[in-house]
Amino acid sequence: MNETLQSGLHPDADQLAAFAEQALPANEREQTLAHLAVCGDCRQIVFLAQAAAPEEVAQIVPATTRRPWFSGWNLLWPAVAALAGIVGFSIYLGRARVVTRTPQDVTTAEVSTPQAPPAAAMPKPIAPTGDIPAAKAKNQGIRGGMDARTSPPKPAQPAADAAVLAEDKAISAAPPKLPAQPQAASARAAAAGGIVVDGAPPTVDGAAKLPITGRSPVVLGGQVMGAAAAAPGTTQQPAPQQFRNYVAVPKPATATAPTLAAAPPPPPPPAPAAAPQFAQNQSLQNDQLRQTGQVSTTVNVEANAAPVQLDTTTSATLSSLVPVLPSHLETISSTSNGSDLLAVDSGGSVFLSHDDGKHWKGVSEAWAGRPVKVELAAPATTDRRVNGLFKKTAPPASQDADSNASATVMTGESLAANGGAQLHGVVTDPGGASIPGAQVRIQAVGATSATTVRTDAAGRFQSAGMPSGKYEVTITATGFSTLVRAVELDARTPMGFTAVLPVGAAAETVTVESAAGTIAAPKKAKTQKTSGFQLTTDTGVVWVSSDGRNWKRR
Amino acid sequence: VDTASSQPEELTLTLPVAAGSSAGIATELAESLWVAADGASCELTRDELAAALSGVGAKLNYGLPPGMHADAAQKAAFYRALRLAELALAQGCALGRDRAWQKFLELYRSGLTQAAIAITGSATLGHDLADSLYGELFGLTERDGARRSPLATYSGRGSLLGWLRTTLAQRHVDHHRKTYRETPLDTMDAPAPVAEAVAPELDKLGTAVARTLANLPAEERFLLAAYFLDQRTLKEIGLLLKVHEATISRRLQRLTSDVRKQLLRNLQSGGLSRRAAEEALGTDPRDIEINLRSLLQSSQSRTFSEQKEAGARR
Repeated sequence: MNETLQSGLHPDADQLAAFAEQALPANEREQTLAHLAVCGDCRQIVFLAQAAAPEEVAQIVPATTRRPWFSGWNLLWPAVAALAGIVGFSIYLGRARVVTRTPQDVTTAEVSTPQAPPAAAMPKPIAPTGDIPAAKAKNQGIRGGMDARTSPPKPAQPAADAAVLAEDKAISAAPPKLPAQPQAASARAAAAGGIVVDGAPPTVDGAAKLPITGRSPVVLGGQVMGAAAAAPGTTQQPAPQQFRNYVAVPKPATATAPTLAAAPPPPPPPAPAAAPQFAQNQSLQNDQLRQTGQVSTTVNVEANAAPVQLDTTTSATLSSLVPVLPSHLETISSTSNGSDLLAVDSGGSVFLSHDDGKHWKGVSEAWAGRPVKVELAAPATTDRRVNGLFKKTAPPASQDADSNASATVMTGESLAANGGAQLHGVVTDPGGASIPGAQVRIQAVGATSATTVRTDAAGRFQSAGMPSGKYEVTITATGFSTLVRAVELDARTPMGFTAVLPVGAAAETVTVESAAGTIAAPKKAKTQKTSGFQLTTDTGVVWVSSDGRNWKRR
Repeated sequence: VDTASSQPEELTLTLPVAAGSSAGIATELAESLWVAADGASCELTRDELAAALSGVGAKLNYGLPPGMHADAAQKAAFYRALRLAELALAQGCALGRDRAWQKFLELYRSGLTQAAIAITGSATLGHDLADSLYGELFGLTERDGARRSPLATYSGRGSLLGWLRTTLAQRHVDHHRKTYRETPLDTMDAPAPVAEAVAPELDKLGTAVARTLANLPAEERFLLAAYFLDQRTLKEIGLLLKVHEATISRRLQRLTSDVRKQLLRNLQSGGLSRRAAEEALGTDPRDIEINLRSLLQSSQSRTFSEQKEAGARR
């Protein structure tokens, strides 16, 4: 203590300076504080000395408040960085999922024999042509050929349009496994970006060749079964196996049936048991469908007493829609029945989605072994009557909600009065959305001039007043491959079709040839829907399920 | 008591004259400490430094509480914890070594002058204060025929510059007190009137307040005095205690709350009911004859700042 001018003993300058610099031991600090609490002069001295060194204080304060790098908020930075990384990765995954979910819808139509046609009702079948333009089946994907003959319509039924639509949402990734030929006398009517023939009345004989050149090797088809599918009470001709390539129209009409060209690229799966009578062998078709993983929609068209059955099969390309499974493993097989999506990954886990792949649920294993393939099970057939002319009833049957088919039936009735051949249609993208502003160029074969129209906001186009004959329709749209189709127009019968443009560069061209765009007017539509899924394990055992969750061994 | 001397005799370190020993410090330790202190630059011998260290250690009991005896290791630790270079410089200056003074002026002259200006608030007064301290530090003051320098009292626990600032502040306060005491009596404040008789409740309240404040820890009483009596800001108090001002604010809030609770308890223990105690706490402070200054600090004099303000008013 220092005896200064102040009364009593006081800490000296050394002690006060050490106190201000926190250099005193605890006991001495306590003693100094006790004195400072009662001595205003010493407090003044301490505060004065403190105020005289602001710079030094400023240096001392941060030094005392500094914390180790591994304490306090510093520990939070790694967590924040990790969280940001997780969020970024999630966003990346979400975006990648959206990108990879671009559908590659492929539409095919397949002609096959009708179901259980009575032999007596079947008119004289047309000899199978079998002249499949194999030359057109080049390296790019599958080419299908359809050779069909049609008989002229009855005069009493002039405008009997037969519209057969097969719009398939491609949901299958693997190249389609075509049913074994020759009994699968079917014709792929469209490939990737193919054209679905719709309303066309019965016309005179015309060979309809629809070789399909698909940009994508994925070709999944619908079947247009060329046999008379008679309505109850009508007579039907049994469809011999060799006739399944045609659409058979009873006399006096000549059946026009697209014939499936021998699809060269994909190796055919083990052929199912021979099905000489399609009507008696529905299971054959089911087997084919199972093997091809297709969603099938069969439309039986009946014009007057000439039943024509058109069967469109919707296929799905699943892998492109199932890019990311919860396991993040590679999807080795997937299929969809339109509402549910089933997929199996490389780890053998099976996942089911009810919202088009947005959310997945694992399927509990009821099977022994490792799943290697999932596909659609046998379809259940439902019949639907379409009264009146097909042109009048832009059939909701073809717009089946379950199959998500987006095929469009166009009617040309309003155009028929204008004179000359008429062509109309709708241009859509693989997702079924209309493409406005697409250029449709209609050029007669051998002619130099052409008629060019553009699709409206709804993707529709029409052109009338053209002379009958063969035309080449070229459809182009920005962002899509160019689609070329050969059609034959008849001044008496308007023709319409739906063109599904595949996504791609305009330089890519998909060619579909069709000698006749006319098909007998349908009167009855018959739709097939799938009933569930089937799963094949590595041991070859097949399991089936109606809902994708509950499985039982076949 | 009111002597003019600002250099207390009892704080002057008695530097050992004999240089033959290390003043109780081992030779190796004294050598290492001398090297660390760079005693040669201050013309300070090993023995002189050892004697200074020994005197500091003995005065401060080597940093230990009173009554404890330090062993060799504790002593060595205490020595090494000191600011040896500054201590050697201060001792060299106290002994009048020229090299030490040159070094001192080179290192501290500017800082000392700036601190003096900051303390006085005036460049002229600051320079005067700094020059006055220089003369005092150089040992112009003689007692019993020996030159005495305040630098000899520097122990080396804090910085030498801090010691210089504190010494400046001390001298400034002493100078002001001398000036204040020389003012005419008629200008001084009238003595406080004698307290009249107060109500028993208020008397109990005053007693309770005195008891409560007396039971507070030293640091809390320091906070109350610095904040309420000296009216120091939270930042100033925080800087002195090396804590953030928000911490001071929280501690003051908690302290006032605790004081109120303790007052209630003391009032109740003094015979008041809880309701009466609460009513007593709600008494207007102007009605209470309580000299908080007398309760919080021993000196009845006003603080330095208040005195300066009073002088300025005059």
